[in-house]
Amino acid sequence: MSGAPDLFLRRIVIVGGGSAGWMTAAALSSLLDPKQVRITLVESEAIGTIGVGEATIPDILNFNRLLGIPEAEFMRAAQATFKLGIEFVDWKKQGRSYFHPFGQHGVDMQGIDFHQYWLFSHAHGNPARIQDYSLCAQAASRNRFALPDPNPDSVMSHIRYAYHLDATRYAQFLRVYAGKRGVKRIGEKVDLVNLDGESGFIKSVRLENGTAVHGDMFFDCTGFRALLIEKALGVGFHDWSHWLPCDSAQAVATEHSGPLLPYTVAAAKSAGWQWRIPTQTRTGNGYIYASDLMSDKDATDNLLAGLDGPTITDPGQLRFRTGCRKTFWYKNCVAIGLSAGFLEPLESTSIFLIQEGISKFISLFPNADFPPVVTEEYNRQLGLKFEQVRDFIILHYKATERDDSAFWNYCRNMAIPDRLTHKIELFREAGRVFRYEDELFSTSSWVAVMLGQGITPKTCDPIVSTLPRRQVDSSLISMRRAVTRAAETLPTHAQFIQKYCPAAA
Amino acid sequence: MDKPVKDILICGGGLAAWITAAALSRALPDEVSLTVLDIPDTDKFDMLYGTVTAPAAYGFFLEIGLSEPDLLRLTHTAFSFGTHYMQWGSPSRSWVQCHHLPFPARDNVPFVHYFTGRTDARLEDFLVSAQAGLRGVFAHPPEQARIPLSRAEYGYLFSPIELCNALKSVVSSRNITVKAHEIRCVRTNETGIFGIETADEKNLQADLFIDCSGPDAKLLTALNTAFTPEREVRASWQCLPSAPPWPPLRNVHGSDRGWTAGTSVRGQKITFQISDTDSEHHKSGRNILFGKREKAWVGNCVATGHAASVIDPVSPAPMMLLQRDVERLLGLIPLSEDMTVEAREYNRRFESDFEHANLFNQALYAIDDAPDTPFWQQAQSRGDKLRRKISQFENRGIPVAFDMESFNEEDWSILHFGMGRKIKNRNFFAELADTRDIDSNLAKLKQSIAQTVLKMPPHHVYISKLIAYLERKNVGRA
Repeated sequence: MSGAPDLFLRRIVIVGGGSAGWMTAAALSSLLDPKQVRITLVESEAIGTIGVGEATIPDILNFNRLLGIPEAEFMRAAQATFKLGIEFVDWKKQGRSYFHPFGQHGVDMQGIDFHQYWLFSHAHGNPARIQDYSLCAQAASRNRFALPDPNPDSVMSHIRYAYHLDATRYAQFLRVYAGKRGVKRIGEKVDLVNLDGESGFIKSVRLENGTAVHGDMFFDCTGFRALLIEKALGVGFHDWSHWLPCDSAQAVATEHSGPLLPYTVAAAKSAGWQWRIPTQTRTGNGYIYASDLMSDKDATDNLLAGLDGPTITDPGQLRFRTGCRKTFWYKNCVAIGLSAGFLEPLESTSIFLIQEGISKFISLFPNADFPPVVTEEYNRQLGLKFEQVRDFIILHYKATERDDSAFWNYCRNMAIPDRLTHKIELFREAGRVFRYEDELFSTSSWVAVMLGQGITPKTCDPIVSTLPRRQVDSSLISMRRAVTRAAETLPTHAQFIQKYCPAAA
Repeated sequence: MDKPVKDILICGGGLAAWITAAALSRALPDEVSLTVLDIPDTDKFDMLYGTVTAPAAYGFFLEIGLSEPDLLRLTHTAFSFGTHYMQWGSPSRSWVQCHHLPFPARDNVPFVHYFTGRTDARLEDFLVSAQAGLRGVFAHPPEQARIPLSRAEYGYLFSPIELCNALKSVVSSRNITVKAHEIRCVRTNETGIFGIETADEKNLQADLFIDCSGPDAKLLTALNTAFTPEREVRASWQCLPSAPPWPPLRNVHGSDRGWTAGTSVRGQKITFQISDTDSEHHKSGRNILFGKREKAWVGNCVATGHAASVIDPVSPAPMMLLQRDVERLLGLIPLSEDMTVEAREYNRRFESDFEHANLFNQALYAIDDAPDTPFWQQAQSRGDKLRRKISQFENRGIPVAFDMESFNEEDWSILHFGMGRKIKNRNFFAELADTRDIDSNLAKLKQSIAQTVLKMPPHHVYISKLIAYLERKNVGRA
């Protein structure tokens, strides 16, 4: 029989708690038998985790489903709310907003993307915005929500959603889950990583209390510190700060005020941007900025001035560098979470990149001899994911008309990756979007952001213009009517949560 | 604004030209005028498009206005569950490269891991399209997911010459100008082509020129676009009448000097042979260069079909690429005389479509103990991407996929197993599954497929009844 048992990984050590560590522990424990593989997670209470409110994208549903987590139970525990998309305020220019919804705009017809029909009709005087044809955007603008209808013929099947959650509570929830499945937790700080002199593999990590934890396989979930993958193994870092110049963030939680929003708000500011993420009990706010163009003090003032409710916490600050590791999996160590790389949370991709790190690892699950053919493939796939997310985020900065500050002047004029340049040019010519396969963001997402940021195609696809205008207009009218009608009949987001998954007071 | 594209000239008279004309005449607005310069004799290499399509052809033909009933009534096309490779690189290597929907997964374990190591059976024992193909039976796969036949997919067995004529007759009812002449000279300047002089001394002008002139690529060549050859072979073909039964598979027999493909369309058998160029017993053939143009879109000239690339018809790759060429063009019809953005995207995707289709062909020849003869040795070619595909499969049974590949994950799994590649390490989670459970599930699956196949009619019976029905109901063009 293939895969001789003595080659199996027997001891997996995860260093670092937080979302990355506990998501990894939970996912592995859901698949592995604790009698065969021992999983240990080392975390220290002394090291805080990051995150006051975290937004996600719909892929998180798959992760929770894989773990068999009941949605309502998880939402109560993580004080989670629903998210239908992101409102971008002042990004194209001050005073202008657009909505990037999950799911599709309208319905594609005859093999041609919906947005081509919209461009055609818009060019002939239809004043409706493209987001008016998205059920998610329409429900969001009314602060309404309901779960999608599994019947594909129903308009309500077009709802796609993710969550806003309290990442610390999510981690705690997963910690209980993993604990039940045999993951052993050690509450100590790691002070040294022991490498094998010959192979360069990690043999063990030494704890502050003097004991050592040995393993065949290590996960570095130590956040920006990258204790294993960088400090011990020195794999190197791709610095992308010339494309994504923000390097600091300040975050603060506030009380709710006004209705419970089923979407994230990302507002562009003079030297960065500010997020607003509502969980069930509070609103997470953060200001991300470039520290060489704005002092920390000014950032704090700006953050506090942009709040819509009284603060519950004091502003906390952190510094970061955008980019990713040159190698995510090196020897017997895989970096997951912030230790793997950081892209600002403009499109809520942090948890997604953790998930990718875990699911790719699971699909490539190695033997204890770590064949290079496995690690190479992992590094190729993860590198590609990081680049795809990076390019999509750069688009938000690059495509802007803002010229009110040094920050926006820099972004507007910066050189961007070639592949992104080509995408923008292609869209500008005739609204064409070519999605690379396996790309995270869908055609609808690219269209929403390109149009929202002010990239207007010169014309629409000539093939659409062969259709009679009246026919196109009437299809669009009936689609819009169906979407609006469906959105109006939904319960409010707050009502829905109250009934479905209220967090303990 | 720049000058808009109003006139399109398609240069060529073979399958590529008429498929492109059919697609464009259906998609483009009436303001754009479409002309076909039907150059005599450009169809002489059309047999190199192969005689077999993948399942994607159904939707594509429909899109360009040739429905399945049209196709069956206008030509002698038959159905195809795939290709049966026999004595492939060694006397004992044979398998059915069938078309199939995604394999079932069980308990999060992909099927290939589930069955590998548990049984001596071959993958094709569990694939209904392979079993039906071997028995010579056919029926349309139903939609009800519970019936085993619903997992099958099918393409077509066809004659390129007939298909070309069928398209001509479909297009003739549309608003399109046809001129039949030789090209005397292609006039170019620094931006591209500014006119084509025909043998009757007319100067044809257009905003966009489409080169469908076959492997010579008369237009691209005039623009100094180099051809990158991959290898040279000798090919010959012939058609002979044949009586039923007609298997719903193309047969490809390997030999030391090359291979011979047999395709039964209704009433005739097309035999196609490929060997190395020195082949003595193959004097009647023509020498063919496989390879591609360095660019398929230069200035105001874009190529489809053989003018862009000539690929080995050992698999359905040639028809897949032709379809991709046309779809790529439809998605990128230029709006004005500045076509640099469209050209760049077209060339990017052309490059990767060709590379990825070619990977599959190269994988067919990637045999460690291949015969030590010029044909098999010249066909060996393993770049990084192919090495990754094979090593990932052999090491862990992991399917590596690249952007927008024409051949899907099932095609690749069937190929790997068919060629005798083995998965060294099964999926970790497959090791944990209950073996008795696996064995009994596999036995049940095999049995239900065997029963299904027993109930299906012979291919030729099914097809004659279908055509009689279409005629009676007057469905499709005749």
